[in-house]
Amino acid sequence: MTATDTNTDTERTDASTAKTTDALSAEATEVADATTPDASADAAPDGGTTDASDAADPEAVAAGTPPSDTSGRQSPAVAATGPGTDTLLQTDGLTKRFGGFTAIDDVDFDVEAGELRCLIGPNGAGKSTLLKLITGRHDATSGAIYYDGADITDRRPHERVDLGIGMKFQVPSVFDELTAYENMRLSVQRTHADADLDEAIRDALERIDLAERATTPAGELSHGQQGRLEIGMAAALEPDLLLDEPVAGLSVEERNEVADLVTELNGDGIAFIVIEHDIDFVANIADEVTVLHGGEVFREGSIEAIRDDDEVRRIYLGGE
Amino acid sequence: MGLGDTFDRLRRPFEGPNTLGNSRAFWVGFLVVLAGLVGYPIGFGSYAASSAALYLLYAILALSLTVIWGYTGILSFGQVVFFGVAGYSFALISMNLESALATTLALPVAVGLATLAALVLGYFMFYGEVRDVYVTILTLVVALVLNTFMAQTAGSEWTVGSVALGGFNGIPAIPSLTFGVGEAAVTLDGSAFYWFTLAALVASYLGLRALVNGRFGYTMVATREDEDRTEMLGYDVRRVKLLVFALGGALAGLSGVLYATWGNYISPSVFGITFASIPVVWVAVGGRRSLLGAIVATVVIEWFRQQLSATGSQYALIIVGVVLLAAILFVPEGVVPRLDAALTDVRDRFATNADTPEGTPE
Repeated sequence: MTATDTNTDTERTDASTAKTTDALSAEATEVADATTPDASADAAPDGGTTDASDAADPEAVAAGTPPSDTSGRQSPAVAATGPGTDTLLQTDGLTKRFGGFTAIDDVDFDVEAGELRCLIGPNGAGKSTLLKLITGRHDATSGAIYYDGADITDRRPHERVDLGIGMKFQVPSVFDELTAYENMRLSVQRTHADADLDEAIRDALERIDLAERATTPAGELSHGQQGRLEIGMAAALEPDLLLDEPVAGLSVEERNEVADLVTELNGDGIAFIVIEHDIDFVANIADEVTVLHGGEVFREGSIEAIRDDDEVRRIYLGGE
Repeated sequence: MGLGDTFDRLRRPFEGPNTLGNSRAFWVGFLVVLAGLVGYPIGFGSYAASSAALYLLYAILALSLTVIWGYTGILSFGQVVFFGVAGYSFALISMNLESALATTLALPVAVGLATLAALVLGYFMFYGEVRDVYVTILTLVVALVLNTFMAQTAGSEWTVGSVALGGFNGIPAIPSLTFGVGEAAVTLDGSAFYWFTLAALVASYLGLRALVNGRFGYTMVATREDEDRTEMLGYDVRRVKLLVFALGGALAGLSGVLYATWGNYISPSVFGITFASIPVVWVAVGGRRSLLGAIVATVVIEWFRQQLSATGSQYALIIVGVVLLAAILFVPEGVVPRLDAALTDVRDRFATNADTPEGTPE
């Protein structure tokens, strides 16, 4: 338990450092983006000997991925997302086909620790499919997903959650029949012993401003409250990366509440991948934007650059 | 006051939102009923106790389905498989070895084999991503296959050790439940068997109450509500379902051993479609999300069925079917949860009425 805690703390620190670096120099990200796994292995040969690696190693070992292969070279997962890199998640040539339809086509995508990345694109661009591939809800047809030094391509969804990938769903999928307290319990009991459970649940509910509604069945909460509960439950698992599909049909006010919560958690060092449709909204929260179109990465860059891009405007507005 | 506090502390582990009866009044009622049940053989004699023991052992079978279906959302028609496997195992072990010690050990071994059977079947189903109605069909098919298979074991080639499987006629002269070694062994018959069964039922009931209100119980309920969501909270739902299925197998197995020793007899009809359906009726009528409901419904329905059969009525099963339909149509959540809700309603109304005159003047 202590080892895990320390580990999480270290990663949090890494994450905030990464965030600062990222804010200072956009080029650094560009370079990291362009780097292939093998090239970055060469760029960071000392990755295995830094202090950060000591913190991250147990996790990589627990995840069953050796830090390096037999020839002494690093595995692609460690090279891409292991200690010594700022990259938390990387997809390498990720492809998903449903029968003859290619939903995600050879996508190389990566996210830094502590970053808040928005994923935009027209309907059918593959945004949800990409998130489902990352959470393990869908199996990849080909390609690989690396996360925090481990190859998670074939991992079960719950194993990915244990590694620190959380998911918040588009439709609030809190357990309707259970109370807010019981919902939160399901999440909090993963990280707390029985003795501290009650207090931790109440704290977590307090944090999302739902302490007063603890005994209300989640199905009877307002849409916005369900959205907050959903994020609160995901955050209670203490993830390093949260995938966020926005809650559909929220009022402006409710959306702002959710956005505040996302920004706050991101400030605590949790990296986010947020699917969003409203580009003004994106401008308020995101560092970096990835535009998906037809299952491929269409553009990637700062919100200003994306907003001024005529091609992006064209695919969004369709025939107009 | 001290006594009341101790009482409250004792009942706490068995209470929570996942069970009915989380009040001092409930537990007082529980103890009164329990005292009545313990005294039953004294008042009505050994023969009546022996008949009643059948209902109690069936209630353990009902509990096995309640945890699997009511709490975890897996409708299994296969509880009778583990019931029968344990019953047959007990017969084969105790009759082949013919000693008090072997009969004593046959109980845990038979329950263990039933659990193992549940683990194997559950592994292939849940790790093979078989879900929903397919689990129901698969478990029913396993029961029917065993029914057909055991029914054709009449020939002399179908003997295990010295015991003939007996085909459709089954295995007679199974020893009664025995504990001990050699001369010091105690055989449980009549009232003693009734008390043992009652103790096993009460232990199962209390154990399950503690389980469903604990950490794992919440995981079971979450799995029932939404498997994908539960998985995204980091729970391995395949493992959760397998463990619950194994637990259900163990309870059904215990029930099966008690059944085989109760009538000293077991036959392939335990795997038949009639017997496979009846646990579903008990649990659906009593309330599938209520452990208490399953027990009450089992005892009442089986008592009723026995009375009808005893008076020579051939309509017992038809009436049970009508009861099931009526329950599904009019009380889909089950009779016992409905009664509990009605009681709470009445109590609340009384409480408000009593409060109003003494409450705030406005």
